[in-house]
Amino acid sequence: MNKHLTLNPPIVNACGILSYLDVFERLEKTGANFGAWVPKSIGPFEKQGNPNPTIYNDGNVMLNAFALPTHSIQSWINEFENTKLKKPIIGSVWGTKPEDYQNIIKKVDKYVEAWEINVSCPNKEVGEKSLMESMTEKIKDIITPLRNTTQKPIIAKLSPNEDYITITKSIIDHVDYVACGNTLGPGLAIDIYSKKPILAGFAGGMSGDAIKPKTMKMVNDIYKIASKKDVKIIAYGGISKWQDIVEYAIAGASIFGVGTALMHKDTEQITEYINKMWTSVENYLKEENTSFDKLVGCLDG
Amino acid sequence: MDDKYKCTKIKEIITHNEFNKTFVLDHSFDEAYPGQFAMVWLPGIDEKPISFSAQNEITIKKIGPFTKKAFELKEGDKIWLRGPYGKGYKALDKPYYVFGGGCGIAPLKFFIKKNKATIKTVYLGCRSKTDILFLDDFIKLAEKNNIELTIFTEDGSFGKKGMITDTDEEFSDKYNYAICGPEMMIKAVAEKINIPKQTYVSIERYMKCAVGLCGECSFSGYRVCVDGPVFSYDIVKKLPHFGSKRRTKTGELIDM
Ligand SMILES: Cc1cc2nc3c(=O)[nH]c(=O)nc-3n(C[C@H](O)[C@H](O)[C@H](O)COP(=O)(O)OP(=O)(O)OC[C@H]3O[C@@H](n4cnc5c(N)ncnc54)[C@H](O)[C@@H]3O)c2cc1C
Ligand SMILES: Cc1cc2nc3c(=O)[nH]c(=O)nc-3n(C[C@H](O)[C@H](O)[C@H](O)COP(=O)(O)O)c2cc1C
Ligand code: FES
Repeated sequence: MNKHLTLNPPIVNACGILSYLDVFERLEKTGANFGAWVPKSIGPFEKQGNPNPTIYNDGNVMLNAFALPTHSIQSWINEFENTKLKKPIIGSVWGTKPEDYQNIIKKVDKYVEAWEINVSCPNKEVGEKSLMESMTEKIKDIITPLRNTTQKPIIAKLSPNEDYITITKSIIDHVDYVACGNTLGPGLAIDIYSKKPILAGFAGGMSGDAIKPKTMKMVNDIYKIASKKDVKIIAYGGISKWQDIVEYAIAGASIFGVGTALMHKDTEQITEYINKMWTSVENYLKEENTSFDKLVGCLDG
Repeated sequence: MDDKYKCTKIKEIITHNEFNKTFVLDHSFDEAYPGQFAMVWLPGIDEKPISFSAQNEITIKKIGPFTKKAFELKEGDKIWLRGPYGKGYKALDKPYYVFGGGCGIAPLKFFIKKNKATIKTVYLGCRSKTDILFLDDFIKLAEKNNIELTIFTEDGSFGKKGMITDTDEEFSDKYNYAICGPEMMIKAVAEKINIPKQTYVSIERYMKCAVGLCGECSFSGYRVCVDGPVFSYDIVKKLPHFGSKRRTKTGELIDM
């Protein structure tokens, strides 16, 4: 039997968005009704990530090249020890080899309700050896041993850029969820007056509304494999309105992460925005005389 | 809404002293209001938050690699800005007292120029006369608009000798209060005024995205880039990170 989370509502922040426990606490205090919180990916060594500019938003698509800034596991533990968060935490972890993932999960396991295994960040620091490009062969070795490391639900966060169908088949017996997906690309943005790349990291993963059709297809492709194995889907990619959640649910997802759409919003605006999003989904369910469970994966065609 | 850069030229550079320069820009950011900031990009170098000291002006203090590079810029050079970002000083329902310390004087000049008629008193505090940015502008503004101007220098080289908190004025709730400067100065002045609900202060934290996404600029959970940088002191005074903690580039929370 696979282990699944009961989130109320089934909406989370996308990893790397809002990022820190004090930000989540502030939103909880303001009344923001997220079903769980996903802190920034925790990694095996401290790194600052790329210098600025780390983001570029041209109005159509967002590019980011943070390249996984990470502080020490001990300072993460200090934050977890002191948090007053009420909603569950889904830990996100990245590494360069299977042992990295296992070590971090062992140390932080008691603070989280589930683990999102980030094997899909397309970004790297300039001059850095690619962290996660061509992970295809490594993913199975990273994911498979984790059942012995943690009893918590395991979420594999995959990339839309790789052969995700082959990857999904290779790990499907060892996970409870597949998260679709990380940022697309990476892409390149150029400044015409300096003739330089805008992002200090040169290229950056793409997110926001524009990538939604790609992740929608990914969700549906993976749902067809996962639904036979009691594995559920988390959708990340351009969710900005309640209709996006309904579309992703129809395609097969049952948890929904919001990232880029939170751009330019202060704490009160995020609160109002998120709370309205789920009530709108509930209104839709009522109007359509259906239930959320019936909606998931009901794509007709 | 996009976050594209505006590439503009530097029309004029005002050198205040060894550590402070003002860059007057060709482009005017007409939407910008006092207390807001831009992300200023020097391609191939870095990008940092800098407050507007006028709609076409930024004032930079040389403290590290980025600001050192900015100091090498010449009139006519290009400079890239995105913004304006953040929440600035609140609209005026009561006349204002304004308190500026160090580099924090620059955005307040913008504030005073925009709201001349409703400024009652300006207090500036600096180490020495040469540190008082825009001194002539302040003197003229004060004379023309009937604003009381009191300047403190620590070495007594101009105005009164002492700290900005040495004033013996009694503050009343008939006024609003705007403070900009180092966090310790903000704390000292705001505590002295002791009318937190009518006091607005500007907070700085390290920034990456400046659009509220990454959480890097968290100040006890408020993202300074979208919830601030100007906050009501009534909120700020209760926050455990005030005067005490900030996040580094790795995201680690450390003592200031
Ligand atoms: C909203 C906002 C508005 C700003 N407005 C202006 C402005 O108008 N003019 C201006 O000159 N600067 C302004 N700053 C500050 C400016 O962005 C920083 O000083 C910038 O980091 C300088 O870059 P640097 O590479 O020169 O130095 P850095 O290498 O970034 O910093 C030099 C030293 O200062 C320390 N430091 C950096 N940031 C902080 C911090 N927040 N608290 C404590 N120590 C710190 C560093 O650890 C380092 O030791 C503003 C910052 C914010 C957030
Ligand atoms: C600024 C930024 C930082 C991100 N950091 C991470 C990260 O640390 N780990 C991760 O798994 N995904 C990270 N992502 C990817 C998001 O979690 C999400 O998968 C992606 O942005 C698509 O969702 P969206 O279109 O709603 O933003 C990041 C995305 C952005 C925009
Ligand atoms: S700098 Fe990214 S949230 Fe403020």
